[in-house]
Amino acid sequence: MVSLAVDLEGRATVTAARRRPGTVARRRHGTRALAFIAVAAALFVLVGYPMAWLALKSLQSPSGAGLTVQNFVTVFTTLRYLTPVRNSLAVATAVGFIDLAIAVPMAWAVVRTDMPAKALVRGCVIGAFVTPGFLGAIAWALLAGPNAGWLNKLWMFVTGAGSGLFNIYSLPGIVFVISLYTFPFVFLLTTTALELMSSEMEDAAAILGASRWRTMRMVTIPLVLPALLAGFIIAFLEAIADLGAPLVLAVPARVQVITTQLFQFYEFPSQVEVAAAYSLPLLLITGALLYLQRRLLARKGYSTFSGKGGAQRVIRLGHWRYVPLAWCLAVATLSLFLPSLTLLSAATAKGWARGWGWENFTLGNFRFILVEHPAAPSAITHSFVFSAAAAFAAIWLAFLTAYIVNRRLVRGGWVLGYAAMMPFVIPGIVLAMGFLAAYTRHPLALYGTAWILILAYTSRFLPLAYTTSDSALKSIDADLEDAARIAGAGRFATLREVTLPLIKRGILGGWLLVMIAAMRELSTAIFLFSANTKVMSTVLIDFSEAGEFERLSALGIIMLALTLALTLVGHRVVGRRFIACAE
Amino acid sequence: MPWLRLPLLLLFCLGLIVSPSGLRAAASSDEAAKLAAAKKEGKVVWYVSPFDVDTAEQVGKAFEVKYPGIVVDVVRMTAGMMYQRVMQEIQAGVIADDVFSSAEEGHHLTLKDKKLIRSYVPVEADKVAPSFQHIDADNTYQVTCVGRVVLMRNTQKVPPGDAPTSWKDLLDPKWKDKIAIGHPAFSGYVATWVLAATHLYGWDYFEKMAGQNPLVGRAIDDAITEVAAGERLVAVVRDATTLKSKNRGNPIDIVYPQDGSVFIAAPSAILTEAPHPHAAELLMDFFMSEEYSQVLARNGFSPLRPEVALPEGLRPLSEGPLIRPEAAELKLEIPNLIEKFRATFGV
Repeated sequence: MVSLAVDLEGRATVTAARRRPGTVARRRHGTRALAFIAVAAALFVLVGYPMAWLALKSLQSPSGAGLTVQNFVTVFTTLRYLTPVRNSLAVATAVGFIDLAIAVPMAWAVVRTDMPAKALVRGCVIGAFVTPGFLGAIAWALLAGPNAGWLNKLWMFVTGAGSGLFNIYSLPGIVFVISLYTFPFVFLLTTTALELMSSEMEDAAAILGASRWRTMRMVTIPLVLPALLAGFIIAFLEAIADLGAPLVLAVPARVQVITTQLFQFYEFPSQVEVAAAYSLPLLLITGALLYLQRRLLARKGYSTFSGKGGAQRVIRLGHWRYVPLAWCLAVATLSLFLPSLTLLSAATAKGWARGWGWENFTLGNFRFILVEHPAAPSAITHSFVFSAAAAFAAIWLAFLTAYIVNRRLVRGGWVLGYAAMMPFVIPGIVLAMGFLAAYTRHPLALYGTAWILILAYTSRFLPLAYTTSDSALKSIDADLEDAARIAGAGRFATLREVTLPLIKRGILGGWLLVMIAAMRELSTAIFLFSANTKVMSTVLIDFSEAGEFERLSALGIIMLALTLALTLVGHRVVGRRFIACAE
Repeated sequence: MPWLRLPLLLLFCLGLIVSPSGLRAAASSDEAAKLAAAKKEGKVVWYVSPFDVDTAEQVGKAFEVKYPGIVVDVVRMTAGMMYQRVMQEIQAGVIADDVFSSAEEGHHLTLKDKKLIRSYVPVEADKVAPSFQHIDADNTYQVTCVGRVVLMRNTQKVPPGDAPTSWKDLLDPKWKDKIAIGHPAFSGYVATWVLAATHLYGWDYFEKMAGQNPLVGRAIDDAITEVAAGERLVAVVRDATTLKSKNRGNPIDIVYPQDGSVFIAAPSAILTEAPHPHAAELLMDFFMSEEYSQVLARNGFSPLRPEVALPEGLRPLSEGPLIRPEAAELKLEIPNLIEKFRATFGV
């Protein structure tokens, strides 16, 4: 048990030694085949069927008669549709580099130096991680709107300038905001890599006479390079698939990225078939990059990843130790403190641009959200219920899949593992388009019900649930199960009496993680909600559409508070590595 | 003379049936049956675009006071989004909506052609101002909200003399980077304005407008917020919500353009396959009532009933030039204009 606890606290993902296949003789093929078929069917409903419909749509002519490649011709020959692709690539590349610049020094300072207040810094990163990007974008619209943004007003007041300093409604503005909410991915990957790298390697270099700089260049950097590249790729993928921040910032800036262009195809008058064709380049980019990322992390030539963690020598920075702290706090200020404060003061204002003061203070916005608004109170409940249900479905399906794959219950079971990870390649907006194409018609007309949202969330966060279940399963030795089997327990009894009790914390952590992710989800919800199934994020977008920033902020604060509360629960249950599973 | 009694009685009964009071009695028993059926349905779902959330919600509340036991599910969206959603639901065969109120009459015309909305003459339909009656000859939809697309200014930063006084004035270089507008793909008001401005000045107007670098929001009310906050100085907005925002203490005012405010007659209709057909009829009846017009006036909208006074600060519709595009034009031209708008403005 002790070793298990350590594993879950820390090195679950990487320590997993190679597992022997299920060594107990294969019996009762019937049950296994049934389990396989059930899991395969569930995965088909969640991933295969919607994606097949999307592919079919891309080949249909708008009139519905016959197949055509005209949609692809339209997409690739219309300049107006190609510009967003260029914009998206530029934004995502910039975000990748900025995230590295933000997060790598932070990770290094937290893991390897004697910088004070490390726990605070980690907490802030997690805070930024769970903050929905579009909420951050809205806060930054209030902070850095070119004329009325608070920071710009301050600038004009201090310098007497006639115009503001920042314009958040621009491509650089979009890059800035997305970076603030994606850098935690890079931070988490880099800290993990640094924690697993023992200082002995560096010491060896030092003993051989290398300078500190040379050691860094020749040893440290090559050792963490794969993690950095993987971090860059994840940041890139998050940025290119993001809909929330561009929806808030790009349309007023009169700039389109791939996701807003996809969304626009569904506006009046809609071009669903062209949209389906348009999603293809996006899928190609994400698929290729994820393949690359897997290849990078799969290179196990680095013996540092032995899982021992090794001795970590802390670099003493002396008086300089406040410099990295200042950097970390500056980042936290931009991504967490300033936006939260902004939302809080807008939420308690009668008019956000009228400045602070008692005559502008009101709690009416909260009352409006919680009592009077036709959709908001039920939307809060919906968000909670739908994401809890989706998390439940995702974690059990993922656990079963991981169990079948890890214990090699069925020949070719690894296919299921791949299928469960598939949605990782599919941006939320594309997944939603697939669901819309597949489930607005017979035989499974789910549109208009809560099920379509729950299934979409389940599908979207299945990879997250799978990674958590997989690492939890890998953290326990199959010998324990084998012992139970030899003692006469059946497969099911073993699962119930041995396996599940051992990994229940991991499972619970995964459940909470998926729930948090689903609560803040926007890009599938915005397509699939209906009059009776609004969720918090869609109501937020409604408010932003009508420019009702005060009420929007009140709901945003409620959403943030709920998310943070769940994160705290997760921390109590799982410990420090709670969020790290998300990698 | 007992032999006379029976024929006299018959004659009397006939008289009762033919007389107006008898008719009313029969009609009111119809009404009672409708009310009972509606109460059994228990609710009515109302997709509405031409109001802000507040006003739509107050209409719902007022209806619930008049018809206790029937809940109004108010779903407020921009016209473009709403039309898209209704079509999607019809295609999926999961119709949630009963009453459809879009700011763009073209939507209703399309739905009518596809027989997706049905004809219904609301009680008291003849009591609203004559110019709002019978806009559809077949009574598939009725005007339930009227308004104007106008200009507005930030009163702290733009003195009355400096403000633009016509659509044409917005092209003056001094308004570069200072204008806010909505998006025609979302807002029916904006779409109607784009059509009217194109008819007046040609598409060239929007080519030049794009050069003015306006802030393009989505809903038409988006622009009010931007001007109230001082983010932009002038905007293309609607009269009612601008007045409402001004009355809440924001430093803004309406400017009625000299080349014509754009008149919006936003209709409502019952979907043919409405899940709550009787409650839907009651809601349509309610739109014609005096109570409804009072809610409108309280929220800055022009009332439909002549006996309800215009909200203070709103110019009567009869004063000043008014452009009123035809429904057929809206239906025919707006989809193309939206595409052109996207090409010109890049969003």
